[in-house]
Amino acid sequence: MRIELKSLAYFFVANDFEVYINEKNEETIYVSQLVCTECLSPWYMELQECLLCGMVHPYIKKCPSCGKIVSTTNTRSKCNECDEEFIYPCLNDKCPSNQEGNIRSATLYTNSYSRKKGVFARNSVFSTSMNFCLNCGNESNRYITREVFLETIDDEIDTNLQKSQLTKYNQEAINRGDSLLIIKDDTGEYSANRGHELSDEETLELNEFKEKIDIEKFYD
Amino acid sequence: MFPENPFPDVDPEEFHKLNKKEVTEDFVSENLRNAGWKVSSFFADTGIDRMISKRVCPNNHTSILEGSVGEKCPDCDADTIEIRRFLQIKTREVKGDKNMFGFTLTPSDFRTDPRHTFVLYSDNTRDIMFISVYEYLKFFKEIDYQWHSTPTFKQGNGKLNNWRYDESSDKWYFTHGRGRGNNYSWEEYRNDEGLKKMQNPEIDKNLEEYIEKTKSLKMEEFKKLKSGRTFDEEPVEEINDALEILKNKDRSKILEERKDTIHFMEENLGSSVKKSIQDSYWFKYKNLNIKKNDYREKSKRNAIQETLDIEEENEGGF
Repeated sequence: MRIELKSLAYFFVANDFEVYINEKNEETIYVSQLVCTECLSPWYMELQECLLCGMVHPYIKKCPSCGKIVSTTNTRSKCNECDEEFIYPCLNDKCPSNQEGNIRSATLYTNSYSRKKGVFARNSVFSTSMNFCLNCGNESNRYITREVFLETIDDEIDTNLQKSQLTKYNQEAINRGDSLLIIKDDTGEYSANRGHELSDEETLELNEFKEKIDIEKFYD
Repeated sequence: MFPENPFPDVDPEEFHKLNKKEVTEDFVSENLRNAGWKVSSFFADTGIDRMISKRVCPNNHTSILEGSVGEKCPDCDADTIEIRRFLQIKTREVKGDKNMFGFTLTPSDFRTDPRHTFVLYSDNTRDIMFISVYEYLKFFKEIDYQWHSTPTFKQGNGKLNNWRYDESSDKWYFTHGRGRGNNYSWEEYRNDEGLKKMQNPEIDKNLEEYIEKTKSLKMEEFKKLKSGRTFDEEPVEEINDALEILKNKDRSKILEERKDTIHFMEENLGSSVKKSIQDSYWFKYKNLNIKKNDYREKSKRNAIQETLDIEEENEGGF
């Protein structure tokens, strides 16, 4: 893999995208992200939320006796004031797990895999993978994927570029619905362009060059 | 013939469970390449083992062992489309007298994008099963086996050991309970049949519709709890009533409750707890943020401001 492309791949990894490489094609990389189908915010399958109300994992534990709350990074299993075992509750006061009754008792059930109690205890039945978008509350997700083409031009260029200045391979990105063409000029600035936005003329009108790759172009 | 062994110098059985992951994923990849798919592997591990794509006729004229076609289908002249699949590969051996096969999927494995595909590879019989998340959930609904509502599945540690390879008939089944009536054929997902199903561009042409269908199937099963050894009937009924309410709840209410809860945390947790939540866990999630300033500090500042306001008022009065 070309070092320039590898560097680009790490840029996307650092920005929470998934990057795929095709060993038979060293010219491009695929960049993908699981997003909300409505607002395109990232979707995190590893983020836990309460099965009963949708509140996200607060990463705290609470003393059932005095109500003291500490972070889950705290290694103590018992409250140092009351000597009670901490529980791992949902913090939404409207959650059914926080109303007196059978549901609350069920969330405090100790299962055989984990002696911990509460909605967010390890192996709890009541915590699940993210079901509601963090931004808009929508319940469905999809992958967006772009094939990323990189062109390095040894000149300072304005936003007009002759198509012939691109390698023949990168000319393929033009008009392609799923492509993202990144042009890097000799000042180290980037112009990010969706393939379908570039008309198939001899002179390409590029997006503005910026110090950082404009990540928003991925979603256009 | 699909699949074939692309590595004739080594018998798959020579690998043990600690060193076979790579070769088995490669076995699947090479076979898909031979079937005309472009295969990409992850640059940094994220849970998807391979992303594959192929240019096919939208009217399903492209044969499963044919390479990517050009811009037009040679059969019907339709504009071809590029289809993608996101593969999660699970490799296991069939075991025991009954040739049983099993694996673990957890709630976090179920996206609503129907292009997400589970690939189940039985290395000692060299069979590959391809099934999309949509087909997988539909299969369980059709046979009325509510595995995804069980506490075991929700706890994320339940291995489903219900696939069986019948050597005499050379057929694969999903099986539960006793008797022939509880054997459900998996032949349509196996090898070339599975490949044919995976290559069908129907979900790509109607992606939104299939995302919606997958979501509905998922919600139906995931937002339900079955009683059993873990819970008695009574709380389970109440839990299911609560889950039904959540299913029908306006999403703005869910967001409002999340916002109120985070506000409660900001106002009531100590600064070190907030710092730990933000810096150790929530930092990786966009749109999830807890303000770390200490509420006690804020109260102190408010109290000082109030005193100053009163003093100012008093001064104005004289």
